[in-house]
Amino acid sequence: MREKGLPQLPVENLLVSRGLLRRARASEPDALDALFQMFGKVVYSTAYRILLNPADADDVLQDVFLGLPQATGKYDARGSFEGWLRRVTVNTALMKLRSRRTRSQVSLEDCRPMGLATAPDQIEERLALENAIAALSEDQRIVFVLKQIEGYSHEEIGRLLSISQLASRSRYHRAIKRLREQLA
Amino acid sequence: MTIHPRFATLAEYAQSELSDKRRARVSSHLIACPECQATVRSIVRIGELARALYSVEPPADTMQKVRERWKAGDRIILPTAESVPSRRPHYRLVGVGAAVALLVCAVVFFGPRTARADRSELRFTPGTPEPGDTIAVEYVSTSWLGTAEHLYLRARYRTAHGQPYNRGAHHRTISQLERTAPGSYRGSFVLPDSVVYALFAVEDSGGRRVDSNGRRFWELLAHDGGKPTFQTLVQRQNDLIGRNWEAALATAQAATELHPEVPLAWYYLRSYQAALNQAATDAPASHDQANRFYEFHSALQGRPDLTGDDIGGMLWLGRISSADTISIVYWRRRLLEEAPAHPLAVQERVLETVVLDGGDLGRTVRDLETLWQEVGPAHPSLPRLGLEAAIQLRDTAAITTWLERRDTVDPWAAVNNSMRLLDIPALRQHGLERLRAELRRLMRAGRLNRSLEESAGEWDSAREDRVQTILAAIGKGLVMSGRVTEGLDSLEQAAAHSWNLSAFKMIADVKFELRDSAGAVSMLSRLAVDPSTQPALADSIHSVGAELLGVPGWLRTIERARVLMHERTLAEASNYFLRLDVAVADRHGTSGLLSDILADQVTVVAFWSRSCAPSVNQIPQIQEVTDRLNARGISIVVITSEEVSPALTRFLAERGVDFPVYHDLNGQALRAFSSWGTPEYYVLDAHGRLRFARVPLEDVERFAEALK
Repeated sequence: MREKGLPQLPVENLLVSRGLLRRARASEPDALDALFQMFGKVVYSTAYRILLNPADADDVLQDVFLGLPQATGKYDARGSFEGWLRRVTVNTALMKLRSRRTRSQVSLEDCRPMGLATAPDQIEERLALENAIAALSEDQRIVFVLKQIEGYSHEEIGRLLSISQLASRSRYHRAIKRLREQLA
Repeated sequence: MTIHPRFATLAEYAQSELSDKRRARVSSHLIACPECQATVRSIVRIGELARALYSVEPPADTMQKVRERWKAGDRIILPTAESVPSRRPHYRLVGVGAAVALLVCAVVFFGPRTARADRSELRFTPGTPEPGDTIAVEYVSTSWLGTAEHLYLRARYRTAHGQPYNRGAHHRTISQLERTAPGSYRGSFVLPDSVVYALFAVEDSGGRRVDSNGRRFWELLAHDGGKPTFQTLVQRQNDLIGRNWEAALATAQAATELHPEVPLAWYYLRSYQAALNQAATDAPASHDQANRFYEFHSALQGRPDLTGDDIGGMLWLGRISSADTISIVYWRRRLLEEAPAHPLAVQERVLETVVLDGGDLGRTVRDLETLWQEVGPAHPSLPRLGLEAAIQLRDTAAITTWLERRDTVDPWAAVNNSMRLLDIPALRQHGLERLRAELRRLMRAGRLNRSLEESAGEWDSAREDRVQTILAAIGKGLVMSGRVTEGLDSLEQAAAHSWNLSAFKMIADVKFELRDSAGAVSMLSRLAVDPSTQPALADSIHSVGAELLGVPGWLRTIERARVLMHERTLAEASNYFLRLDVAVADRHGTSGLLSDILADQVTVVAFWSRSCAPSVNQIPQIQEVTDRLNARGISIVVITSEEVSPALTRFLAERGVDFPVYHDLNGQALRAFSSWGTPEYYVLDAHGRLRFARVPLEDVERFAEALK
């Protein structure tokens, strides 16, 4: 019979070594550059999904990497670093969104991603979905992105957006329904 | 009219967010509903596309801007843990000493449960064997078995691949026990290598008397490294399913204590807790369970050395823990890529095939055939759904092929599957041949493979029931084929000793055809007196009977039919005392003992749930049955595990429910009846003895009336 041991500690499975994080915490430029190389795209894409605006997403990306040396002290290495960083990014993007709401509405012309990682034969279908997502109300879009792409539960989304789980569920279902109608 | 699931339900199904029970319900709807399949497919597709969207390269100069801002003294405090919902677990997995866990097992295995005065003992040496060991047995009987010269030890063996429930299980006599002193016997046997779990009973020569330790049996658990193996504990759970759910739960608990590193162990535990409504009673444990998946997820993701059990266990633990979709999709993808022939992967692939084929049955049959060629009988769902699709498609070649495959996986279902062929003209003859073969097999079968707890006499009686069922089906098939005389012969044999309305009706039809009106109405009188017969049909039968036999003759016929119904119904009765001093609360929240509520009258006890579609669908019939039973002085008690709440009260009021509904405090009633699932109906006599268990709703009145 196969011998099964206790699960290994997650730190052994991380992409990011403790040494790298320690150096990033000390604001060493090389370490921050390395983290940017590894996670810059993830952070930017995550921010973009929420904000649908390249300039705002770039602001979030800068903010995240500016704050990273201080923030990594709060990462306790018990979960995936990328997962933790995505959550920090979501929070930062949501803060940006709230401040933007007080400024002005974003125009749809700004809502075009600059590049798509898609196979050529799927581009049409994905562009259609991209336009359909952009046409959702902001409330529906945020919940859809957090739920469908970022994998948050409705309970977590409720806490993030200060809405009830029920409201999150309802917005999500309305978003999916709307997307189906638009893509039909 | 088909009732489709709501869009929100389908969206949650596509996201794997439904409970197992709701998921199963939606799955069964999807199989037959192309419209909803298309909806689910489109939702899944939207999710797939969305996850691939916006993989956007950041501007090239961002990091340069970051450096400049940093040099300029710009600092940002990011919203991290304070506002980020934590998925990090709040505990560490720890091993539990085998001795502690075994103590738990021992309580579960041998804890006092019955009030039998003649408790006997069966001892094994070694008590914690490894497969292949020779095991010495000592049986000490204080019972009526202790006078024989020889006794026989019988066993039910389970291998690591055993399925839940004991349908089609193999039983065998493994040792002759010699008397060494009055009431004391010795023997030995070799535990086969493949066996991980075994149960035992002792009986006399010929199996006339059986000591099954009060239906608890005695048992051996294969050990490795001083503790029962995980597979052993899984097989113990599988064996207990359907006969003692509480013990199955305790076994699952022991498995997590002995094998905390196995994700599947935690999934099984969570499943039993959810099913027995126990998780909610222990908030800290529930909290741990919600986080346990993420502990495993962090520890195991990225590890390349996981088994199919581990990966499949993570998938199902994630689902039952309501984990995020990305994690679930991750484990599902790994399962399909790394262990595509594992039973859990095959189950996923089968359901995916059915859903993605979008109701194109021809395509489903072809795709499942391809899958079968690749993986064979890896999971029972494959031949089951293959056969379903073939039958719906009316593809006779595919039906025959899948039927043989299903026979190998689920031999216990062979008779029912053969009966289904009778409705397909092109396969009716094949169905008849299969039924005859099954009849021959049954007639030849010795008593050697009877269940451990079943005496030879009980087995004979059960076999007689099975024979009658098959004979009735053969009779029906022959009549449908135009071979009326032969069919009538089979039907009359089937109806000679049992109460089989379908056979009675068919015999009546044939006798009318043969112009034997008296014989026909005699059979119809049995339908007329059975409470499950529709009143309009019963009225018609009364008119025809009175016209043909005259009123006095018809009344005598009716009376004979009623006596016969009661006789044959009572012949099926069991006679068990239950512990009914269990607490229940009425819909106003007032608690009392079930024994007081059932006091001194024939009572029907129903287990029912507001969240169970079949239960809800049966509300009108339950109300009708209640009204008729009450008119005859028979009461009905409906028990639900849901707490009394304004929502439940409103739900019942909106549906005009007048029958009494009680909340099962702490699940005691469920345990008293060894009940599982809803709706289930039990009939108790005026002394509180359980006489009929798990009877169909349409037969409840007949059983209850027979006890009056």
